[in-house]
Amino acid sequence: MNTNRQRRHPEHKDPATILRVWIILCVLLAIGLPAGVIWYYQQDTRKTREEVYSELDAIAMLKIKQIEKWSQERIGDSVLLSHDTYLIRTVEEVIEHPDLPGPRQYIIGRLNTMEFQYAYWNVILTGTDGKVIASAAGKMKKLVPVAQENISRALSSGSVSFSDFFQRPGDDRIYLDLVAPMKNAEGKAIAAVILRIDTREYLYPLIQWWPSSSSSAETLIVRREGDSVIFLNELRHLPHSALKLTVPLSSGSLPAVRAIQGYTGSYTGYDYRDVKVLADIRPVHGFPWFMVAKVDYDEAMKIVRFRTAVVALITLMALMLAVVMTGYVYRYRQRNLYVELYNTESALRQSEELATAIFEQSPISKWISDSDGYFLRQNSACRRLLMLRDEDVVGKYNLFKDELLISEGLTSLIEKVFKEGSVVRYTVTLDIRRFSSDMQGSPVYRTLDTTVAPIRDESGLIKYAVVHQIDVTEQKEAERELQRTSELLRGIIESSPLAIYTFDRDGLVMSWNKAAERMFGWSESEVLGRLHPIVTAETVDEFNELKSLVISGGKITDREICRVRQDGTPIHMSISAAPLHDEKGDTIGVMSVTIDITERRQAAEEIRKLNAELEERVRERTRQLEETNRELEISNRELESFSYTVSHDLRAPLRAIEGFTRILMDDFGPHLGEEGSRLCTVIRTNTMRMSQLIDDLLAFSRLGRASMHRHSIDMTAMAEAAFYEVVPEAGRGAVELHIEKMPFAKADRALLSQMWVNLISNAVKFSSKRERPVIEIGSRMDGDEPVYFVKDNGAGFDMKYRDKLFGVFQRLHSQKSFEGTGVGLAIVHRIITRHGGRVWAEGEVDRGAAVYFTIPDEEVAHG
Amino acid sequence: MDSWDAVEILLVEDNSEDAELTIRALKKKNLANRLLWLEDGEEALDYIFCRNRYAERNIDRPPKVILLDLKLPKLSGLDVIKAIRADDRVRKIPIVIVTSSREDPDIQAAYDMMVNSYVVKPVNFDQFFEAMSSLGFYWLLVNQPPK
Repeated sequence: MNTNRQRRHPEHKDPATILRVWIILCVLLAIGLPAGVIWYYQQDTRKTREEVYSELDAIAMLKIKQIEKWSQERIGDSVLLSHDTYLIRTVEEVIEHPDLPGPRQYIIGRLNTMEFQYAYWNVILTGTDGKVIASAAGKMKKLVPVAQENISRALSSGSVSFSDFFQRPGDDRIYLDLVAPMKNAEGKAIAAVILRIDTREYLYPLIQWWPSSSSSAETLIVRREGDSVIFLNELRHLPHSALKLTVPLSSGSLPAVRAIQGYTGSYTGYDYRDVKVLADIRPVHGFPWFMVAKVDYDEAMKIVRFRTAVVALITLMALMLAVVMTGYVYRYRQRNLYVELYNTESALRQSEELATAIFEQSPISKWISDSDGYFLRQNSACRRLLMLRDEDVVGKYNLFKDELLISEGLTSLIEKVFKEGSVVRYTVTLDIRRFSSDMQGSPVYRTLDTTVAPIRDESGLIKYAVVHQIDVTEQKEAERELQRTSELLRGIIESSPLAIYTFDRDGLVMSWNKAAERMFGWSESEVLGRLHPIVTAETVDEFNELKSLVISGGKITDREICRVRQDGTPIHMSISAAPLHDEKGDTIGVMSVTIDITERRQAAEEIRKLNAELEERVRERTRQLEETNRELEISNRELESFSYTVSHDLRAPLRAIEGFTRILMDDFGPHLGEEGSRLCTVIRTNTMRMSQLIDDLLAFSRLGRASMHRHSIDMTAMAEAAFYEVVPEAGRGAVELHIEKMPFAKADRALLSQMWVNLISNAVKFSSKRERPVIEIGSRMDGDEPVYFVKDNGAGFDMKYRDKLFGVFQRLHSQKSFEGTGVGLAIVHRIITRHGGRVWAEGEVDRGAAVYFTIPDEEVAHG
Repeated sequence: MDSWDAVEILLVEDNSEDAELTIRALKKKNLANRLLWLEDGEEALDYIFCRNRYAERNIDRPPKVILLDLKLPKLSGLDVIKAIRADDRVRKIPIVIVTSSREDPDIQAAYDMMVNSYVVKPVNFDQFFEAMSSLGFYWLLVNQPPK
């Protein structure tokens, strides 16, 4: 777990190191950045200055070239005039004859043309004395002294020359004269041609023009004048300065001064305004002038400063961005660091909590020993199992000093845990009260399956050992119990008179009890692991069939099969077999319980033979009976047919006799007279009796044929019901009826009901002549058998006729005294005999009669 | 009788005395005006199925009731019932057994052949008159014959 924890730790730099690196970086940036900006500024300044210089140089050169070109053209103009032969001759003519108007006019015309064509301010022709001969448009009459000096200088040099800038009194303009001497054919100067130029119109714009827009750039032309420098043109920053501003040569840093002093090229100095400027200084050829092209340093460097500022700003912003980003990244990393640290810590805490919980809540008793064997801590299962109190054992109990372990020789084994890191397992039985300070009661022995395992620290050293203890007392007890049970089971199997054996799925014998040895002849050692020996080639198919039936989950109960003993004699046996399962529930074989039924079968065979003989006799008897039955059936059918004929054919004539006698009485009554009518009545009465006789006879004959269904019958209730049926309601008060409670009888309900009706109606009929008829109904016991009776106090009978009493149509009284057909008691007799009972009567003339009967529980014989 | 088709009661009875008594009983109640008395089963079937003597009879005008004795010469009463019940044209004619026999097998067999009633002729004259006249009254006046 420790290694895991380390592996999970992210690699972090020391925060102090990060801070140090961070500070150094900041210092470097703080120094480097301004230095860089300064360096850049200097570089840029230098480069820009050079650029400006080269620009100034170019401009100055250009201007000088333009001035020179302009001056050449002007000289050309002067030469054109001064060398014109005709003009020279005309001038000579005019000089000769000053009053001649013609030549003077010509001269003025030429001068006009020149002035007009080339835009000179004026074109003047003077004499060698400097007096004006003619001028364009005749404007000029007299020249200023400066101009006359120029003429004399030009005439003395004999070549074309420019004058200096000059002004005329009362005129703001600044002029420049070009003087060309005019010579006659002999080469003698006769006149001078003066081309006067207004500088503001031609030269100054040229000088002042600047090729790019600039707020401070200008070009100026200077000339030395004594110890000073004179500015010849209008200055940009100082109006009306032309030919007026002079600066002494002692002002060394002035570019104009430097120009006078002979400096040519780029120069940085301070101009007439005392402003720092960059300048280019050049002499103008052909003139005593110097040209200074300059621009303010500030203007020139403005772009540099701007660029530097921009660069500095961008750099600063980039730096700030970098700082912010770095700070953010740092903070983010720092936060992640803390989060991760927190996660790691909480994971660690959780894993420790988990470890504690696993230890504490483990259902297995655990305690931890240090490397010296001392008890450190225990979990709750340990407290429960060993009933140890922390104060009794922590730091006190020593694993190596436990006398029980020493006596069992386990101490050296346990020491190996610490020495070699092995895991030791042993089982001890001990009284768990040994550690409690107050040992009371009887010992509580527990068997503990103990495992001692080493616990290593991160470096792999064994610092602790954990002692797991599992209470296996019940398990051991169960094992002993199991052993006892299996020994008992084994004893039962071995002493069983039934052959009990098992074989596996392949039919190899697994067990074989003593009874099997006795029954089959093979001893257990002979058959174990061999094929079931009693199976022969003839019976192997049957055996396999039965075996697979049982293995597939079926059961065999009391199956009778035949096998062969070791001595070769056949054995009949009844087997019951069931599948054998292993602890997983898989069928591993078959258990069979076998009874030797060889003797029983022999006995059964004899019985079967006797039975067969008996059955043959029964069949013979049955045949005879069936024949008798058939005969009976035939006679029954005949009887039925006879009854039908009687019923149908005997009644029809009776009906005719009755009918027609009645018609005779109805239709011819008056003719018959009293005696005739009486005789008719006699006929009708007898006809009706005949009809009644037929009905009774038919009813009697039906009794023998009706089928009987025996039910349990409440004789008391049935007798009462019969009485109510027989005696109309009006007559019931006249009869004294005594009905006792009678036992139930098993009989046919309809037949028995008819019997009661017949008996009671007989009793009522024969006692009807008594003043007070008394009828008694009841029963008495004759042994186990109830004897029912109906007694009356009626006419009675003579006992010598008692045999006739139950015959059909037998009457003991005249029709006159008691009506009746003589069938009632015959029907009673028939019903009782059909139930297998007995019926008899006792009586005495005029003393009443009693009829007794019995109904056996079961049918004994058919009546 | 003008037409065989006007018969309302067909009495089949071989015993002439019984027949006379029956007709007398019905006449007394004025119920025998359209009564035809035949003496054996074969003639009864001839009539029912319009054969021989009765060939011109309309089979679709059956009697309202047949009073039939079971014990008849030639064909028995049960044979007559069987023949009638087997023919779709006439099987719905009400048949009342009027006989002297109260023997179970006859009653049972007759009802098995779907007779409409089974009456045992009483020997006593008053009872006989009462039975016959109420029988005629019921079948001619009370009962609604099949269409």
